[in-house]
Amino acid sequence: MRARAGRVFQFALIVVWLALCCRTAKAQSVVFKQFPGREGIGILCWSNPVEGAGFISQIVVFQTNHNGSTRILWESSLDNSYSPEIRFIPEIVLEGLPLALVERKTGAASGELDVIGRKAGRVVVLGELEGFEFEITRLEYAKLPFVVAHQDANILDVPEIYRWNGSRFLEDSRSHPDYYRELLAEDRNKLTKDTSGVVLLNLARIALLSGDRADARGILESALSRERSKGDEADKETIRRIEVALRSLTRNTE
Amino acid sequence: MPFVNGKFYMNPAYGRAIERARDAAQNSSEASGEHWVTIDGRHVLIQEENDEHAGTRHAARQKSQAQSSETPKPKGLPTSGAASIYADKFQGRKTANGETFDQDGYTAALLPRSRWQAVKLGTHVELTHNGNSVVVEINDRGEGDRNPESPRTLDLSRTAASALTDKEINDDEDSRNVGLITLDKIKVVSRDTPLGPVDR
Repeated sequence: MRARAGRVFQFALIVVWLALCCRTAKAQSVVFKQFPGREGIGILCWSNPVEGAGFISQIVVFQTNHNGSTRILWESSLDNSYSPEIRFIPEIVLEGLPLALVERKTGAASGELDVIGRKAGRVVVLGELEGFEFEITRLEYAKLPFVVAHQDANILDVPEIYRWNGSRFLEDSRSHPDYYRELLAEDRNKLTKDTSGVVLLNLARIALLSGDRADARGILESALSRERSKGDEADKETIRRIEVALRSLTRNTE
Repeated sequence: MPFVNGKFYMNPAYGRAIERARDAAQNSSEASGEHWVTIDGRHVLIQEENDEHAGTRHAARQKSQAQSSETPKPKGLPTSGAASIYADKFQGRKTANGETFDQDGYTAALLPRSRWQAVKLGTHVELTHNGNSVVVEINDRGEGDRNPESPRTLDLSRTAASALTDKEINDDEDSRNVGLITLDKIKVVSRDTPLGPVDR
């Protein structure tokens, strides 16, 4: 009798487990890649929907030995993110392990990039970048690739360029004026005489990164006069931010 | 030993979070033995008690409180703020609660990261701008801009932004002309409240 009850309980557990799997299978996602040139070491990232919290996800780096046994080398804490993608930068190798980049979305217009590598014999996270999209860019004049983190698309994207310094990615946008000069020309074509001052604030940041302070100043002055001309409809906060940016630009020029 | 919000924990998740926080601390100039980390989606203060910090936790906590403006403490939902409008390129992408983003819906993303836990996804909020009110569902999370003083609280779908501003917003150019929308009032309402403009 007790054995039968046990079997019924086991069966009920399996039914509940299958029901849960079917419910979440549609939105759950798992990606896995082997580290290039390092067979046996793999990186896996999963994400799963959770009622009320959105999604949870985790990154796991593990090693499979010749006898088939596996051990975890590093695992991240749980995070509210989803749609993982794994990339590697084979040109950057730390203690024999190529650098891994795991991109996860945190929203329709936002995401994060975990940089994972080996340091002092341990697999660790070497940094986390924020942005809505990430590119690995190879520039002619540099040996190592850069990471471009695209930011603030809902106003005007001001990408940030990150350089590898041997142990982590450092923001180095100011060292690439040509990149921003090209972007500035493209963005100018998108704007009209009615463009809001808050968009022009971002355009001025791009002009500044292109190395043209006079242009940045001109953009800010134009933004200020446009916002002030709106009268009652003017956004006080935008005006305040433009004024602060103008003052800071003037102070640094003098 | 890990102390979370003053209590000792053996949970391996906290151990892993501490490792991550330590790695981050190595890259910063200050190693206080206290770190704000996100575990299971919650922001918690982790205090490490070791020889160096034993007996000084109270002082460290006071110091941490004094530096509270620098630590990414979770923020609540403000009662006013500003909203930007989703760019067209995000149409059809997956939102934080798994729905497909639709410019024609009455939805919003909560910004910035420090505010993500202020309300549950699926919460309905009523927004007011220049006398117009609209109810939207928070179904997404976003980053906003890097300025910690920024008043930006939400990213709005185009339809919600149109209803608030009484302006036709049909594409990115229209959105760029509107820029930021000042939100005079942000109020959480019941989930039974229908989405869309509020008739006064």
